[in-house]
Amino acid sequence: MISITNLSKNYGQHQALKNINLEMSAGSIYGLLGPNGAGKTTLISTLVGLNTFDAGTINIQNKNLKEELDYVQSISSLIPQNLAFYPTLTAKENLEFFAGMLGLKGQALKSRLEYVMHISQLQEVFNQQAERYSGGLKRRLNIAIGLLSDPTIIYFDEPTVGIDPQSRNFILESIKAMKSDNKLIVYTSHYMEEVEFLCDKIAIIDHGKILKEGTLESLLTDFKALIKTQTQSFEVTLESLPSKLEALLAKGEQIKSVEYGHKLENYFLQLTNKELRE
Amino acid sequence: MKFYYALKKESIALLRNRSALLALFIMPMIFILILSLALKDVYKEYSSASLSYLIVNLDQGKKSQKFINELKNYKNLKFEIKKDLEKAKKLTKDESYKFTLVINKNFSKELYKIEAKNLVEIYTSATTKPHRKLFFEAKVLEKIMQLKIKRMVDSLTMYNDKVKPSSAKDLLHSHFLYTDKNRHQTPTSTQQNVPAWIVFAMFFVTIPIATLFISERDYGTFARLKAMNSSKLILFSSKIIPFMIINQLQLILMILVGVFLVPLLGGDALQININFLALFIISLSISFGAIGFALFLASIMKTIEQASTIGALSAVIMGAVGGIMVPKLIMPPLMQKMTMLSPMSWGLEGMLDVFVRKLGVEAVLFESFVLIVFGIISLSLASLFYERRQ
Repeated sequence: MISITNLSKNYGQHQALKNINLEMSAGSIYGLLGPNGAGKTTLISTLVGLNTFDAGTINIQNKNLKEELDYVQSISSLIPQNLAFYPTLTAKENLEFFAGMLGLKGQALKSRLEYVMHISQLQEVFNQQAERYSGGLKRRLNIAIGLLSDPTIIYFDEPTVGIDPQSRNFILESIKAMKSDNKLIVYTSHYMEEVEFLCDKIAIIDHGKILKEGTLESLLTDFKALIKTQTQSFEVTLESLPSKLEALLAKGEQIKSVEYGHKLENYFLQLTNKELRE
Repeated sequence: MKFYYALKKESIALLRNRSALLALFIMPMIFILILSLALKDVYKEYSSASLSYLIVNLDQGKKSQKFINELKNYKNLKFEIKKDLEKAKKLTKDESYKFTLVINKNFSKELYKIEAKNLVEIYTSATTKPHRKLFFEAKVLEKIMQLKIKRMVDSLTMYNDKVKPSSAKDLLHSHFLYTDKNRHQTPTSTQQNVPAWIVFAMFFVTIPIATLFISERDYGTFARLKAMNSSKLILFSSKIIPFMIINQLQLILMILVGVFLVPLLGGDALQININFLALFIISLSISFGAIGFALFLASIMKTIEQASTIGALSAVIMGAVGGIMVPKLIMPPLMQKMTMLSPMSWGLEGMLDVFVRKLGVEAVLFESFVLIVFGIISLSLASLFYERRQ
């Protein structure tokens, strides 16, 4: 569904995306995992035509993005990280406005409004000004607006930032329920457990580069364990860990510690290093 | 259809912004009331306003009474008679009256003598401008000379009683040489202040427009709309129309304040025997220029706080330079030329054409053209910077 080849994007001297190659298929949820400033938002903004790019090609449903931008935008929807709606307007007014800007009218407008209301469960606050909503309700309205066009490709840019666990759970369950054969959901986050819970395929991105890509299982297969003995410390693959430990013990080495964990977070930190990000 | 939804959203967002509505409607209303009343007398100096003075008659004769009766003929010079000279001088010193005219006790005795001296004395308050003092002295002298000449004419018996001797007005006709026909008519305080603050209020839309525009940009709403393939034309035009309507409502409210509220508080009522089509044309042009400028400012400002501060500051500076706060007619010539740098000045001139000079459509076309060009340039720059920021 989405095919990205050698994509590069610069902001002046800063290279925001470096030679990105990715394939994303319909009927899946694709996770873009990376720390703040890694290039996740730049990548999905480019995919919806908000950013231009300097090199490479992007094909979406076999259409070239640069040549068929209108078509690509008509089947895509970006649910941005920011609460991109009008706080002084009610949910109803906001949804009607964005539906109007999408060109929806008549029965189509009515049925899409009913659908997104059902998905986002905003009925009780439908006529309240959005600025009075809790963080979770605001996030749900933000998502509801993004679903108005019945998009084939939905980009969720960190949709659970700053909300309570209940709302977060509701949003994650809703996204999982949206998965269908003909849709592609692209989900960016720096929360490992969300990506683990939702995504069929994951790309780990940092400093504008894809560090690893694959299914959760395949990524974890590459994960290494750290063995510390009295005299040395070294990394081994998880698969070879038992045999390496046996060999060390047989040699009479004293093992101080073994660090490992079958968790994406450990792998992510290992790949992206542990330094603090802005 | 998209335009309808954009217009609806913009209108709702504006109507719910109460502080902006207060700034757009209440602020100019207060300015009109305060300044129309406060500057009432300042404008009178520049129009044919009346002067009031005191007369102390120390003479007991009939001729001084005749002289006083003659002074009554000056409609713009109003006097009161006082008996106590010291009290009259004190009232003049306190600025309650501009002058005290003292008719000396030998007035009747000396008036017709060729060598007559010291017939009258004038005491002038310290703040009286020299040209007003000269004007008053000339008027007093004119009446004295008239009485003397009439006596001379009577003594010659060349004319009978039916012949009236010439007055200074009959002998001399004075004309202004205007560079631009009708352009130098002086407005009353209300007639100047209502149009001036209408123009200022219209340009004050900068703040609500910029605030909403920047929040849309910062919250990613513009990006979302762009991703929805919404055109920039719809986004911009949906902002222009509601604020144009708001500007016209401001105009109507300010006119009502000038016509009904200002006279209730003792000021001069706004005269509205004007050409309404000309008013409509200049008003829409001001509105277009103001909204274009607001969008330009919004597109270059980084934060809402910055836009609010710079928006208010630029409105005040344009108002000060453009003759809103300090009327152009009392500015020195260089400053009068500089007013052309402010778009508010063009708007104000157009408004004064309508409200003061009572001119028609033709008179406001040039000012309207300048404002529309200003609006188009501002909008083009706004569009350019909007793209860059996106």
